[in-house]
Order: sequence, then C-alpha cells, then structure tokens
Amino acid sequence: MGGDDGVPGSFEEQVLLAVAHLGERPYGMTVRREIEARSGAAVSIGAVYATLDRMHGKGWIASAFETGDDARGGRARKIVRLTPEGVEALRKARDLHSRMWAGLDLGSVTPTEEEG
Amino acid sequence: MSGRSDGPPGLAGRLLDLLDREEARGTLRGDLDEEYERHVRPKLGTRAARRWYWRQTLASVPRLLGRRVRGVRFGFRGFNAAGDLRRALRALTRRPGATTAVVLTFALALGANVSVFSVVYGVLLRPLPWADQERVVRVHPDELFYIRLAGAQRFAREVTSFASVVPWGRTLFTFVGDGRGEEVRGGLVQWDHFRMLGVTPELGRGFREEDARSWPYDVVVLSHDLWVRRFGRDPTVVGRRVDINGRMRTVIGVMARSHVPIEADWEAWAPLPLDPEGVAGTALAINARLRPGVSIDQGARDMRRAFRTIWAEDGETTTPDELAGIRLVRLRDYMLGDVTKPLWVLMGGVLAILLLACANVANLLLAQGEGRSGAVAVQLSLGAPPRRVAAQLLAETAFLALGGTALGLWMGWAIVHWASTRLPAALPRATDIGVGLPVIAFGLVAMGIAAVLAGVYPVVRTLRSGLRHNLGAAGRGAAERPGRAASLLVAIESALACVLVVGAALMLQSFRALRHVDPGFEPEGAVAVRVAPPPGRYDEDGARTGLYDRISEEVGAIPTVGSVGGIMFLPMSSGGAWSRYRATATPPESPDDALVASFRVVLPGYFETLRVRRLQGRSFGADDDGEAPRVAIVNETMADRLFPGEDPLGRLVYRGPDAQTAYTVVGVVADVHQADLKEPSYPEIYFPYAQSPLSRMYVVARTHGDAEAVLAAMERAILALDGGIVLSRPGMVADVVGATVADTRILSTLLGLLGLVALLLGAVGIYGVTAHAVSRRRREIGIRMALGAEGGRVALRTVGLGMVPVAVGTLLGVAGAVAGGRVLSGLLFDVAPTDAATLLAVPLVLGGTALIALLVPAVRASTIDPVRTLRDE
Repeated sequence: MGGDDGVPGSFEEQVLLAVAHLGERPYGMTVRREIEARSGAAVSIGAVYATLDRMHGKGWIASAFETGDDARGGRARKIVRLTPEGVEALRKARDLHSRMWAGLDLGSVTPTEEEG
Repeated sequence: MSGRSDGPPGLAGRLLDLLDREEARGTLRGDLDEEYERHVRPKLGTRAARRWYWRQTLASVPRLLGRRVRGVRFGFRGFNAAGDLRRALRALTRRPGATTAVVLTFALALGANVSVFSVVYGVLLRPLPWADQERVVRVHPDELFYIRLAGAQRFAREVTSFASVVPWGRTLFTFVGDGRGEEVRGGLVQWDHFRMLGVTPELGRGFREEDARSWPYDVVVLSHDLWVRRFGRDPTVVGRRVDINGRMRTVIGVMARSHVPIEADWEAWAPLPLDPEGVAGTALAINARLRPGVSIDQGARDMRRAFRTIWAEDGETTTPDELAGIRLVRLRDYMLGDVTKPLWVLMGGVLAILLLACANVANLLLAQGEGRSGAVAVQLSLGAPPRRVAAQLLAETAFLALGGTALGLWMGWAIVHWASTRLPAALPRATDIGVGLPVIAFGLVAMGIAAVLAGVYPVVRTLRSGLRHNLGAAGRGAAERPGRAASLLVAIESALACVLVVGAALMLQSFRALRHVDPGFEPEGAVAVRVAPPPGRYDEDGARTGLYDRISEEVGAIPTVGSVGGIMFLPMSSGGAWSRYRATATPPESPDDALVASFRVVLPGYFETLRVRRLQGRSFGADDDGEAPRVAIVNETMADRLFPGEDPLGRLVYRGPDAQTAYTVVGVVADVHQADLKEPSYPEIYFPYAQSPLSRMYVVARTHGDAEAVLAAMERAILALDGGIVLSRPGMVADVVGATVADTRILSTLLGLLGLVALLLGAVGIYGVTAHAVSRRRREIGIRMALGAEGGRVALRTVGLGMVPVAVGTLLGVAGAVAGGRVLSGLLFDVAPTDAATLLAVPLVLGGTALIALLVPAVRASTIDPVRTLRDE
C-alpha cells in the first residue's frame, strides 16, 4: 500500500503512468488495457478501479461522466484525468527512483546470502 | 442484450447493477460490456470471453461491497475496527491449538449454562399463562387437609378477601369406545375454575354455572394432548358425545397446549355440582383468587378467621397454634416448590463452571500474553499507539468469545433438544422449555461478562509488560517470580471446584442413603397392572368381587407368576384415601382424638406378593367376605398411635365422624413408605376387598420370569375375561419406587458431572500455570542444577510452589461450602450439609488431583539439562 508521504505505491504509479500515456479521455478499461499492453501482465479491472478510487481520494485523479454509446448499453463512461497533485506524485516517484538508482550499476551488485 | 447467446453473461451484469449502487450510471458494467464486445470476444471467442467477464465481475465485488459499507465504517478515532478484527483473526488462526482450546472451554461452559437456564426460565421465571398469577392462591396444600363441598361452600360465604373460592378434587376419566379404553387423570373442579385462573379453551367453551346444575356431570373439557392423542386433533370434537365412566357426556372445550393445569398430570376436567349432596364423600382442596389490593397476609388472616368461625359452629375448638399452622400459599409457588431449589442449585453449579472456564481461559491468555510481550514491545516502540495495540488484543478476545458463544448456544440447543424427551415426569411445565429469545439473551450476556472477566486483565497485563519491556531485553529471560495473577486464578479455581465437589458428594451420599431405605416391601420382582372394570357390567358388589377373584385365578395360573394380589393404590404411586379413626365408640372431645389415617383396600395375597412383613396376627383370607364380621389390618404406626402399649389384636377401630362402622383388628404389618422413600410412613389401615369392593384396583404379581413377558401375559389373561376392561400399567413396581427418587438421582448425577468437570478444569488450570512457570524459569532452574541442586529437590520444589494456591483455595472452598451448605439442606437425605467426613475427604481429592496435574511439569523441571538451557540462552 502506498505510504502517506505523497509517493505513490508501485501499482498506483503504473495506473498514474497509464493515465498520463493515454492522454485522450482515458477511462477504466483503457487504463487496464494500457497497463497490460505495457507490462505484459494480466490486470484485473477490480484492481484498477480500486486504485483509481483510492487515488481519487488522495486528490491525484479527477473524474467526469460522459454519455455512453450503444456498445455499452448506453451506460455512462467515467473519464479520468491527472490533477496537478497527481502529476506532483508522479514526479516524486520519479525523483525517488533516480535517487535510489543514483550511482548504481547492476553489474557491480553481488547478491548476498541471507544469514540464518 | 443479456438474452443474446454470445453476449456478456446476464447474471453477472445484474450482480454488478445490484452492487454498483453508488455509480448509478453503471460505468463499471458499461466498461465491461464495451470491452467484451470490442476486444475480448473477438480475440478469445464467446466461451472464454464470458469466463473473462465473470472473473472481472467477481474481482470487483470486494471493492463494490467496500464502497457500500464505507458510509457505515465503524470504530472511532484512533481505531480501525475492521482492520483490527482482520488482524485479530489472522493472529488467532496462527495459533490453532490455543484458539480451539479457548473456544471449546467457553462453548462447553456456555452450553451447560444455556441448557440449564432454558429449564430455569421455562419452568421458574416465565410467568404462568394465568391472569394475575400473583393473586391465585391455594388453601393449606397438604394431603391430610381436605374439605367436603358443603364445607368449602360455607368457607366461600364466610371469607371476604377473595374474588372467588374454587374447590377441586382429583378424579379419573375412563374413556371407552373409539378403540382402546383409556384411563385419564383429571380434575373435578367448581365451574368457575378456568375463569378464576383467567384462561379460556382454544376450542369450544369453558364451564358455565348451568353445567353444574346436574350431577353426575354432563360435560367435560379436554387437554390439548388428550385431544391430539385420542381424538386426532378433530376440530369437530366439541359437541360430541363420548362414553366416559359408562355415561355419555358432551365435550364442550379443548384447552390450549400452553395451558398449565394445576396438577401436572391432569388431562380432562369435569364440573363439581352446585348441590353438595351428590359428592358428599369427595375430599376436596381449595384454590382461590385474592381480591385486587388484598395482600396474601390479609387473605391468610381472613381464611383463619373463617375456619375458626366454621369449626366453632360445629362445636369444634381450635387452638391459636393450630389456626396459625394453616397456610395460604401462592398456587404458583406451591406447584413449582419442589423443583425451585434443585433448579437454582444446578444453575449455581453451571455458573461456577463458567467461572472456572473464565479462570482457565484467563490463565491461557496470560501465558500467551507473556510470550507476546516482546512482539507488543516492538509494535509500541515502532510508534503504534497503545490504544491501537490494546484494541487489537481485545479484538482477539472478542473473536474467541464470539466463537465460544456461537458454539455454546448451539450446544445448549442440542442438549435441550436431546433432553426434551428425557425430562423427569415430575417436572412441571416441561413443554415450556426451549431455547428462545430470553435464553439466547441470557447466553449473550453471560458470555459477554465471561469474556470481560477472562479477557480484559490478560490484555492489560500484556500491554503493560510490553510497555515496560525495553527493546534490548525483548524476549530474553527476564525471570520474574511465578505470576501472582496466575496463582490467584488457581486459588479461585480450587475454591470453586471444592464447593462444587462438596455439593456433588453430599447429593451422591443422599442418593445412596435413599437407595438403602427399606420401603417396607420388596419392589424387585413385582409387577403391577391397573385394572378398571367397564362401567355398567360390574356395578353390583358381588359382580366386582367375582371379577377380581377370576382375575386373581387367571393371573395366578401364569407359569412364571409366583403369587398374586391387589391394592387400591400402589405404594408410592399417586392417589390416596383418608379417613378419621378412633379406638373408642364415644365421640371425641376434640377432633384431634380421631386419627387421620390412609386406608387401602386389598385383594387376598397382597401382603405376601409385595412381601410386606407381617408383625402380628393374620393376613386376610377367603373367609373375610361380605357376610363375615368386618376386619382390618393396621400398620405399626397406626397400632402404636391408637393402642399405645397395648395389644391391638382383637381390638375395634371406629371409622367416620359418628363411628358408624367398626372393624376388628386381625393383624399388624410393617410400615410401608406410602408417598416416597424420604417421607416417613403415616398411619395406615387395610380392608379386605370383599368387604369394601371399590371399582379400580392394581393387580400385583410376583414373578421369577421376564417382567415384560409376564406383564403381557397378565394383560392377555385379564382381557380374555372381559375385553371391555381398561388396563394401564405402572409396570415394574421397582420403577414406581425408582420414580420417587428420580429428582435426587437426576440432581446428584448432574451435580456429580459438574463436580467432575470442575475437577478437570481445575486440574487443567493448575497444570497450565505450573507448566508455564517451569518453562519460564528454565534458566533459573538450569543454573540451580548447574550449581548442584538435585532433580528430586527441584521436582519437590515445583510441586510445593504449585500446591500453595491450591491449598489456600481449597480452604476458602471448604469455608464457602460450610457457609453455603444450608442451600442444600432441603435436598439432602440422611447427611448433614456440614458432614465432617465429606468436608475432610473433598480437600484430599482436590489435593490428589492437583498432585497429578503437577506431576508432569515437576518431572520436566527435574530433567532440565543445565548445559543446554544455558547454551540456548
């Protein structure tokens, strides 16, 4: 679960990035497909929606309803977009990654055995 | 759309619609449908796509449910109840053994409580279905205190405190026709009997005044059970004419199943006449309803004044003491009097078991808490608020209690269900017993209190030791003294177990003593069948005598029957008849000069068959017939009372107020316990059947064969004489005697069981505390052994330390048993509540049990390997 320090957790980060990539009116399903396409792993719609809900609560995501077409039985579509706070959260995530990776080259890292 | 065979599954869609209340626009379902149509089905095909749709739907359920309950999120600031409960549940499943032990202990104790309470509630606490039951009273409930209808009517005119005065007597209804004949016990009641109780029949009507104008009675009211059994719930039974005691009478009503008759075995009612002439010889008792605003004491004063006036008019004088001895009691208290104390004693017993269970659970939680204080310390030092940690620990206890409650309620229900067909016949209101709402409420409250008693202190302790712990020492052998709390619990357990075992031992001794009481006859090997001749054919005295003579002959001819006889009322079965007797023909100066005695009419061979010892004179013979002079046999008590210090043989006994009839005493027999084994024998006089041919007799036989086979053969032989005879069986006389000690037997069995459970729980508790103390002091013991202490001494010290709280608790328990012994006084027989032998023996038993429980931890302590212990450290 993401901490309360404004840095998104790893799945939160994936969802935020997918929303950012999609640009044009993203909603739950396209977010899900975007993550699947980029990560190659199956993602459940329940997880995406739950994460979107949570980030909505944190103010990283804003949403609006859009009238649906026939393929969805006329049901509304919930379009999401990043808020400035969401962008800030992504920036924090990237900064954290870079700080953690700074000066590290995987070739020089040797795994150590766990002590019993 | 959902109708299409290649469309998304309609059921899954509807499930989403149902749950997706907040997003009324159905965005989730829309997304899924769209995805299904545009991407998933074209790629995977219909079948796989539909499976995909279901998977997605089900994966969304937790989130949707979570959104729905978010509005009612429980807990308060600093707490997250749902999270605490989840973590608690996880913590418990990690310790399946301890969790099961606690839940089972709670469940067993609660099950016992729920089952006993369901009886206490149904029988004692639930109000009787009468109007204003507090005002319904009975005048002096005593078999020897009876009144004739004329007297009762005078009494009713004399008193002013009662809204109604209702005399009643017991009677028998022999139903014939409609198949097998059947004899039913019931009441002969004044017509306003039901009105006085404030009850109405569920079918038809109750008695009216005009029903009492004719005698013999013309109408009857049936009980619900009799209606079901004999009339197959026929709703048209009201108005039907049925043959009862040889006359056609009209059924006018059926009482509801919930009706509680004033005598437990009544199944039918008939009205007493208004005119006392027809029932001049019938002995009656009196029930009454107090006027509103009149206290029972005022009513009693009024009642005594009325009796004094009536007796004075009859020229009888009564001393103030005698008058004061006439009691007025609430009918409810009288009806439930015999079972009230045993039930409360049992209730106390099971509550003690619940307390013991609490102590054991508290012990276990304390021991566990010590093991976890390190983990708690870590949580606290990482910044978890203590309130939060406490909440989680309490949540664990709450779960344990909840599990125990669910299982315990089920167990209680199962016990009640099982016992419902095995309750003693003497228990009134047995049909009112069940696990209803009040019983469940009791279970919940009892368990709530138990959970607080058992759970809160261990949580506080764990938290406190967690706070005290600094991280550096967490989990390392901080050797404390054996826990004072644990010792206290052991002491409490020992005290409770001691009280319970003393109670059980006293009851068991009473039961054993009762079994050794000489009933005055030999019930083993004797069987009895009640014979009611069909009305009409045997109304002549000679015909009746002839019938019983032939029955005796036929039964005596059965090969396995050794001897045969008969009696009007079998000893220790219900029923009795009383008269006043004097040794002189002159009228007495006071009514006390006449001796009230039970009289029983017997067939020849009765004393020999039941083996009633003959002390003097002879038995009845064939010569003592209607033509011969009237003879009687008296029991020892009657001989001593009527002819103190004199030879009773050949003396005359006068019967009735005017000494109309005189009998010559031809024999004296040993006293027979007439009511039960506890009651001493009262004066009794026997008459030969041929001289007083009453209609219904018990035919008794002594047999050396299989009792069932003999009973069947007897019934065949009797019915072969006349198929219209109505038979009912007490069966084996030993069972009749056994039934009179059933209350003591059941109570002593149940208390014995509770005593055993108490011992077991106590032993488990003592074992647990000591085993825990030993494992906690491994290091200390190891060091001492490394310094040269012998194993034997270590074991002895362990036992010694373990025994201290047991000894203290047992002493307290003995003191408690002595103080509370009075509770049992009315239930005990031939043993004092402060029986010295019991009070000495029980502590020894407790000590022995404790020793056995201490043995394992003691041996374990003595075999601690110092080297390994220290290396482990």
